[in-house]
Amino acid sequence: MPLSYNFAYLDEQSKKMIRRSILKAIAIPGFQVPFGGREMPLPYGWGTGGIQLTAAVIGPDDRLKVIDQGSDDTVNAISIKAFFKKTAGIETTEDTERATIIQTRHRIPETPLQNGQIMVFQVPIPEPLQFIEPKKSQTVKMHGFEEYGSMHVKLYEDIAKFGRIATAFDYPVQVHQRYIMSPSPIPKYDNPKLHRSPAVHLFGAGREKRIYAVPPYTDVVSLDFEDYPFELEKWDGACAVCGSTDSFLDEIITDDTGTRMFICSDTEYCQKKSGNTFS
Amino acid sequence: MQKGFDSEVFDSQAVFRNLLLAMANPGTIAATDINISCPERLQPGAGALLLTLLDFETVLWADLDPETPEMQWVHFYTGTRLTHAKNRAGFALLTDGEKLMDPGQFDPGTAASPDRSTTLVIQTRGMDQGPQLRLTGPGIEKETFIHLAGITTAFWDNRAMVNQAYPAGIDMVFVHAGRFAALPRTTKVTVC
Repeated sequence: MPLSYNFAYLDEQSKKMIRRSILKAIAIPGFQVPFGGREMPLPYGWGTGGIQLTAAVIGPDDRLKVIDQGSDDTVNAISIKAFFKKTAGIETTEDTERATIIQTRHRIPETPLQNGQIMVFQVPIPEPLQFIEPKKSQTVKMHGFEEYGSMHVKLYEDIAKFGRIATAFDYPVQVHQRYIMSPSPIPKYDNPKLHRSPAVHLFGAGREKRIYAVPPYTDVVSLDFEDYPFELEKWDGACAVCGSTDSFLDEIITDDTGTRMFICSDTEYCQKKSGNTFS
Repeated sequence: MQKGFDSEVFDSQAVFRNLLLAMANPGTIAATDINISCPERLQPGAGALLLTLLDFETVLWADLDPETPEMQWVHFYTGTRLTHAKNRAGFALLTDGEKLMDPGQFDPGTAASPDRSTTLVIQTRGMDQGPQLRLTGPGIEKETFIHLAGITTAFWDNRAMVNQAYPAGIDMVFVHAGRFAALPRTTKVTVC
């Protein structure tokens, strides 16, 4: 491990401050805890919130997995893994089952998580009410007094316009029958994975300087209406690589005449399923 | 001055990680196998937690006098500020769980800022004896049980009263020797 950095880049006092916020976030599921977000050596939008969480949590025995839209091999995932390899000397992995910490940009792995694993989400916009009420001073009050009627109006407006709830990602959820929370821009397909998950889910927003969490075995309910229940995306076909019919599929355009195919978004799941082990 | 952590970096990370999982899985007993020598009235688990959580930004209330070796030790290693006002403290150390007071005397935060609340670190006389406590709530799959020797039924009643104001409430970590278990405000406790 190079000696030019403190372990996992952040100084110890910054870690302490973040750790205190994480504990409060776990104690109040879905509540956005303000924290003294630090400047990180990469721009906002590249996962500064998630990286600060990982840096505060990670230890020398951890195995870190990082995914970007389900893929282990995209720029953001590779760069964040390289960052922690360099500053913490830890082992990285692509194997969801072996990982102790999984930092993610907008997917939850298809492989079921276990108790003891920690998911770290990179969050661009932590405030689910922001597009209804742009003033932070107001949204804090709305959360405080559980003033959530306008959130349902927003979903209703979708139905009035499109005949269905058109929100496909960052679909709002209610946590532990109390806080409305942004699950970060995961596809709504992943929302049910949060419900009573055995893993700890930590959410970090670096620019907005907010941390929130969903502890294990906690109710996470996607907002809906009795006559317009929450629905998941469905695909007609199967994954063109592994044949999976029960994973989130990405549409890939393969030429300029409109030929397309669908493949798993979760690359590690797809490799395992198709029997490839080149990770 | 007695020794604090061997390694500020790795010991505090190990303790915090156990505390994170303890807070996320209420009732689970975590162990610190950290080599730490605290003054007499501080149990090693409590000493390790305070060194992990406190720094110059925190305000600590304790049931010990600031001049005692215990508080001198905590202050030397963390630089935390001390207060006499229970309802102004971010953290509170209660070295004698049998003299536990009403948690309502501490700060439960507000509806808008429930995170600005006191976290209690409570030393108990054991985690194998005493009435059986049934725990339910977030972090617990169905139910789990724990024993905390010396904590009275009245204390649990008072705790339930304070936490009725959820999301405001008081989070607690119970310590015995090198072990600890956390009860966030969301955990419902029934004395069996």
